[in-house]
Amino acid sequence: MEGRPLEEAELARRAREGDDVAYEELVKRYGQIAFRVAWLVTRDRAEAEDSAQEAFVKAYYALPRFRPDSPFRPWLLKIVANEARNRARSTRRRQGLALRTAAVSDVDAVPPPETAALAQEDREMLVAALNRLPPPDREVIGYRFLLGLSESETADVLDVRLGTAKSRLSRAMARLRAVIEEPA
Amino acid sequence: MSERLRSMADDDLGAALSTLDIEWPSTPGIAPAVMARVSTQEHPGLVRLPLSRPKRVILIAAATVLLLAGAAVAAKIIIDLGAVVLDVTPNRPGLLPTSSIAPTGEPVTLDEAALLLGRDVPVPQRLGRPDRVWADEVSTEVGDVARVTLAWRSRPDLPEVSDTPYGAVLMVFEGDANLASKDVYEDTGVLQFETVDGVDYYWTRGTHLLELLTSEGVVSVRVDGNVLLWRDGQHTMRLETALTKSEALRVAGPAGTS
Repeated sequence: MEGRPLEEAELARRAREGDDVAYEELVKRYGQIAFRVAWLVTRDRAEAEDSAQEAFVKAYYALPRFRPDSPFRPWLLKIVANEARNRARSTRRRQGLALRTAAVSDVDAVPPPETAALAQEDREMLVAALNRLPPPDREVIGYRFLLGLSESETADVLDVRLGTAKSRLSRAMARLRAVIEEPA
Repeated sequence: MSERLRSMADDDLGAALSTLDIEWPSTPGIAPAVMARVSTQEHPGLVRLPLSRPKRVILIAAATVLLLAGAAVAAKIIIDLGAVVLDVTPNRPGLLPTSSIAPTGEPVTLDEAALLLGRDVPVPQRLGRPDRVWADEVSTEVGDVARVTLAWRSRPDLPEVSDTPYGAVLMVFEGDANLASKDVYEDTGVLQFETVDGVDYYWTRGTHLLELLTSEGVVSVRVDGNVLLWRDGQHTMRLETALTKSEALRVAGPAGTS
């Protein structure tokens, strides 16, 4: 692919018509978010990698069934999440791996010391609260806020209606708040 | 927990979550492995599932014979329904496989089956939501094609199919590649043809042989249940029950969706 990056719809259309270079571009473009969706479900790096890879292969063979007038990313991520859930169910590797905040390493990005200390403490507390949530709550919050999926995409990945996704997110946020409000 | 977090409104809490800098595991290079796997196969967009004209001609001829006969069992009739070929032969062989449970593939959800099938799974409304769903893909000369199997446990209105825990098993075959053949025996079996609401149905009763192309190769099973076969768009449907023909026809349509 040379020149200006192609839009997702154009890449998906070309891939659907047999352009493997276009599909490879989609894999590169969405490889990271696919892997992270799978990791949120499996919480195992190897399982997440296998899930994402398998999902991309399945999506490739399902391309003739992809509706070109709909967005590609949620369609793909739904396949990824399904694959990851199947693997998580079969391997039972759902415990042990926790979310962590990244270490601040970019000196230029560090805010003034007093603010940074407070922000880091809050961040770590928030992540600790997330880790105490049941997996389904952590998943829906993860899709929506950690990965930045839209409400509609979150619904697609969860394979539920938009209203159901909203209510699941609301309940998950309520449980997160309850954890936050628990005495330390 | 921090007082600041506790005092946040929901929107602010969502915003705070969005700005969390999570330490994600490093993303592996997925593209090379994916492209290596898919490049060894024909592109799915190029796959065509044609029903050859000669086979269609045979189907029409056979249907005509059966229509004339009303309820017919005739020698040397081959009926090609697309994924399933019905072969009427004069005599039942002395030895048939003992197994009467066909291989079904991997357990999946209805949504996963729909994804594989490329359409909503046609669940007969009278049967309700299936108790089990399986799916698999079979490599054929025209590409990989999907097969979805739904099963309902026996219940008062669905008597148990012999040697199985189920009262109904519906197989949905994608496309026209021949994935199954049924040998119906003239001396012990019955083959009938009926059109209901414009849909052609084939009804077989009596022990017969079912040969299924699976990812493991061809598997032969003995079938004792009553089987109704029909086409639904690009799919061939096979419903096995212990019901009578009229009951099975009522069950077969109309279908709901997954």
